[in-house]
Amino acid sequence: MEFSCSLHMVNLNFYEINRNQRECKYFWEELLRNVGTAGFNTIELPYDPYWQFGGRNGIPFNRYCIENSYGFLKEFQSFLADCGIEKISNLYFDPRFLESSDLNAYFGAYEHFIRLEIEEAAELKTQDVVVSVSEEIGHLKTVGKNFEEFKKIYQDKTVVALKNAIGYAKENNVSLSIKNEFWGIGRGNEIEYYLTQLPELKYAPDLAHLDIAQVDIDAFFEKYFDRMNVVIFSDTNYTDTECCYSEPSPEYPAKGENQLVYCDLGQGHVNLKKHFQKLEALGYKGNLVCECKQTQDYCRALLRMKRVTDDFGKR
Amino acid sequence: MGNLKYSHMMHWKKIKYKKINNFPMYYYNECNNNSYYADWDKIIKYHVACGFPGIELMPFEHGHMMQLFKTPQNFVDFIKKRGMEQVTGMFYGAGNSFDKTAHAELLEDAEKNIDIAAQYGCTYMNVCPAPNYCSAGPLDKEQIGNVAIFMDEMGKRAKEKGITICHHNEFFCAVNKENQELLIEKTNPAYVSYCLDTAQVAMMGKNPVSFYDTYHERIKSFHLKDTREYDLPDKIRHGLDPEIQDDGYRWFWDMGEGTIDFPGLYEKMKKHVFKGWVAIETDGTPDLLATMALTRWYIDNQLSPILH
Repeated sequence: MEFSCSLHMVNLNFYEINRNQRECKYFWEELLRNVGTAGFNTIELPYDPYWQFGGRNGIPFNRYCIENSYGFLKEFQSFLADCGIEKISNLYFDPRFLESSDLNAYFGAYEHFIRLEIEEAAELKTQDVVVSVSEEIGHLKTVGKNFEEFKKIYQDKTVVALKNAIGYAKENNVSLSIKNEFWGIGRGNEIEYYLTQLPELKYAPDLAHLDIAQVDIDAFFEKYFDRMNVVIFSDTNYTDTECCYSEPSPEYPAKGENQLVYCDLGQGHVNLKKHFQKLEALGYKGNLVCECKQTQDYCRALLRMKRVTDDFGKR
Repeated sequence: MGNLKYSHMMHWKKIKYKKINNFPMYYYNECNNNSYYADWDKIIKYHVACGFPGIELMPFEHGHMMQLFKTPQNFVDFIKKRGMEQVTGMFYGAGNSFDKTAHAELLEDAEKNIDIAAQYGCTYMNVCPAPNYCSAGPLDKEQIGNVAIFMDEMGKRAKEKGITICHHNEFFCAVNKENQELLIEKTNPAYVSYCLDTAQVAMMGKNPVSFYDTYHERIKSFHLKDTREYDLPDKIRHGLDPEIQDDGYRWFWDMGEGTIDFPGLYEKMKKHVFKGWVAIETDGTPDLLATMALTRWYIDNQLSPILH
């Protein structure tokens, strides 16, 4: 198993003290040095085209930004190597910034950006790309009047887009995995729909999302073991008692006493060690991505991830 | 406060929650000050407490705000309940307005944004007239003429909704030091006013005080912010995406931390009897609340006495 540290932990979209630093190159370079210092020699790199539109080139989340900062992707890899980071386990694309009430516009852009993600992964010599299968249900419910009918159309369009993407991934010697968030179509057991229709598609389970969707994580591991290249270890203390998963802003729910959805690894109720041992017992040899989603202090998060993975006793 | 009312421009990015339901519980998750910046409830109260009864919104956050508030009117009701008077304005980028063939599509989008601004009850909309210099500059006279045609038409449509369009320049915009006055002259004063962003104007080599004196009849909105720069060289203004510097170098500072002659500007505002909303823009700060408080101190102690 290879342990990877997800850069997706950095909150870029919401205000926090010092958030503006996160748009500058120096912030990311220091972060990457600290990732290496915390003992991670592999990273998950988000693929987020949004940042190329605002002139925030310091955020290395797409080719435009990386090339403007480093000249070539290869130079960025050299910088990573200087930080002790030898490998990018996978790229990850969250399509929510494409949110639209026009399905053709959404799926056109969805496919376009997955292709760019695949090309970038191939050039970075990264074997795996991960994509989310859906926008938020809370948004989609405002688009389709009869949601159950709409959901079927949406799923079918997603399958077509993913089928095309699988072909393109193959051409580029990259493997395509999907991820099912608790707030999207495909949440929990509904991921089955895509995996059944597209046998070549891989699956990247994310523990916090599965926990919130209330599925048996170890049973998922068993069921999809032969289709997993990337497993995301994340944590939560949240229980969706108010069914906020289908409301607007599900990651920052309006209802309930506990409104904090994610927490750093080891701070929540997900039994990470037990799930790690299950993967070991199954003989999992793929990437284990550690992610402190939306951490409020990335230095603390790095040390917390180190503590948790050290406790696994296998690093 | 007299003739001036102060608004604060929204550089908070997205705010996570409308209101945190159990603040102590939320705080104890990480026991840090991020919990103090996580909901609109507190953000609006900070504005009111610091003497900013207005807020200016960025369009980028509108989508998420609607997830939280459902309608602009709900947001307006929410801020009024907390003592704020109004959403004063919004920002808008005019895209490739230098290209006449793009106008129809751009105007359609502009109109949507005018409608959103009207729903928030805005009185003005600040419009960056063109893309960054690095992607579209230099613009020739014909292209500036096209920008003017677009701005006039947008201004005309906005006026019908009770909103004043203000040309707002950026130091990295394709409309730049060599032609921003030309654009002011080519646009129709009945439809297009000007937002004086003190730092941006200085960085393009114009003294904001004399600029105001010259164009005071056109200037209907302000972005007051400080800078230590003056007349940046072409290679920076024309460079690739220069707004955010790799090393964290700040162009913009809290009022009083730079070299802009704000007392001089206030003398001119007194001379020309400016009345209305004045927005403070605090981009560049890592702590918007601290900057709002410092700015309030500077206004009360250094600037307001000039007006009285």
